[in-house]
Amino acid sequence: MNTTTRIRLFLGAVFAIVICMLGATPLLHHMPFPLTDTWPIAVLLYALSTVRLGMSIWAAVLIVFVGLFQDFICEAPLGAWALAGLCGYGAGLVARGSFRAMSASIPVEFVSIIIGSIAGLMGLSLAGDIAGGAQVIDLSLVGDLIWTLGLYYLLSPLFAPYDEALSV
Amino acid sequence: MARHARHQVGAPRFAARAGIAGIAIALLGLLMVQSSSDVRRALQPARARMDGITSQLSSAANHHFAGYTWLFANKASKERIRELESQVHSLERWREASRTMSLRMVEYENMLDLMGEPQIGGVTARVIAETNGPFTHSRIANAGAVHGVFDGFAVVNEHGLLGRVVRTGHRTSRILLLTDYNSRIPVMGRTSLDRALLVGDKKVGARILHAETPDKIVEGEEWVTSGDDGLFERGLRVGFAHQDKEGWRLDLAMQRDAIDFVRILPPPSFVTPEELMISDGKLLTPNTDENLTSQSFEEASNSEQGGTNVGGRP
Repeated sequence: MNTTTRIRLFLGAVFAIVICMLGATPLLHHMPFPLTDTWPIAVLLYALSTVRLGMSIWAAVLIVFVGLFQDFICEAPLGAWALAGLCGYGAGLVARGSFRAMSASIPVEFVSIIIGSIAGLMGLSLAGDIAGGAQVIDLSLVGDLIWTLGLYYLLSPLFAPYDEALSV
Repeated sequence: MARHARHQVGAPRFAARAGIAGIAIALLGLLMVQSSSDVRRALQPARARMDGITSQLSSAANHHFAGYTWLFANKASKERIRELESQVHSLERWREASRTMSLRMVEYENMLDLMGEPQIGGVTARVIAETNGPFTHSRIANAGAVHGVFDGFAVVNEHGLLGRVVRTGHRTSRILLLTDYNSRIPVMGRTSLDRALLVGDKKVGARILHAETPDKIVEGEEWVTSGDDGLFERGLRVGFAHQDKEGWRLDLAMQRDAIDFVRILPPPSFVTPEELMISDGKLLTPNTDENLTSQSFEEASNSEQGGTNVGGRP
């Protein structure tokens, strides 16, 4: 991973934190979709976007950084969202590698973000079980996840560049 | 070049994998450590500082984006203003009636020598940040320790009880909502006078648990705080009873509208006998053989006349 990509990833992490902060602003939270009351999950959006860059310690550290920040904002146990992001990133990487090897007809990116999202939720549930959370997975969280996946193709280029030649 | 080619074909990168696995294990350890209440308590100052930062940034964002609300909510705002104007007219009549009744009630209480509910003050604050994540339902208000707000204070809005303050920063306080799983509030029915514990439930708002006489609960009955914990004033409206498949729950009054301005109320100033003794400088001493003495009526009479020792002691 070259320096430009690293800097871009870092700026993407800052952007993810801004998204997370704006989600805590009551006015903005209710403005776009007042009935659904949902907000994209910043750390998952960031983690799933970095999957296409391949495996990278730098990306993993930044995911943990965004996740810890989200833990503070969302009053979650420290490490819960970071673990969820890391699970999503890891599962997305595995899915991407496996499906790319299987067949060219499989929409690798789509499948990898779906699998990454599910792994992220499982990681969050695990974190909740460990740290004493309850009823972690509920309808509102699924709504947030759908919001996240809906915004993925729109926002992910801001987090990580679309460049297949990148090696990390 | 060779390194680049190795990565392109997806050759295993053991160092990177080990690093990511190590980070994941460290995070699991961090989560495990937090199952201890001591560790969670030690993290409170850091979280309080973070609440302050969050509230500052949210406040700035609110201020910046407030001008764009008309894009989304112009019609709704106008309707809301009309509705509030009509409510103000109605409330003015109620205010006069309430003042008259309060004066009469004070007179009655004086005549009966009745210990009424203490009148308590409070602080009005605005909600400037919210957290509705999978782990907690809470809000941050812009009043903190410098405004006299402390942990355990009750929080109400124009409809009823919202929750309680669980953490106070310098100028901010975090409010745990009634819908949060960790919320436990003693409540009572206005009609049935049944007492129970209100437990937060993210799906339906809040459930009534451990009701003393559940068969007396009436559908649609108004439930209020019972004040049994000594933290909340008695009679704060909480919601209305509704029965579903899983039992009784409350349609929370606070969920009628978005939460904006709130009133933060201190606990009623009941003084326990122990606190009173301490404040008078007369600390209670533990019972011992020396100060535990039984005394019959005859002995007491004799001791008053200077006849015998109390309790037969030399």
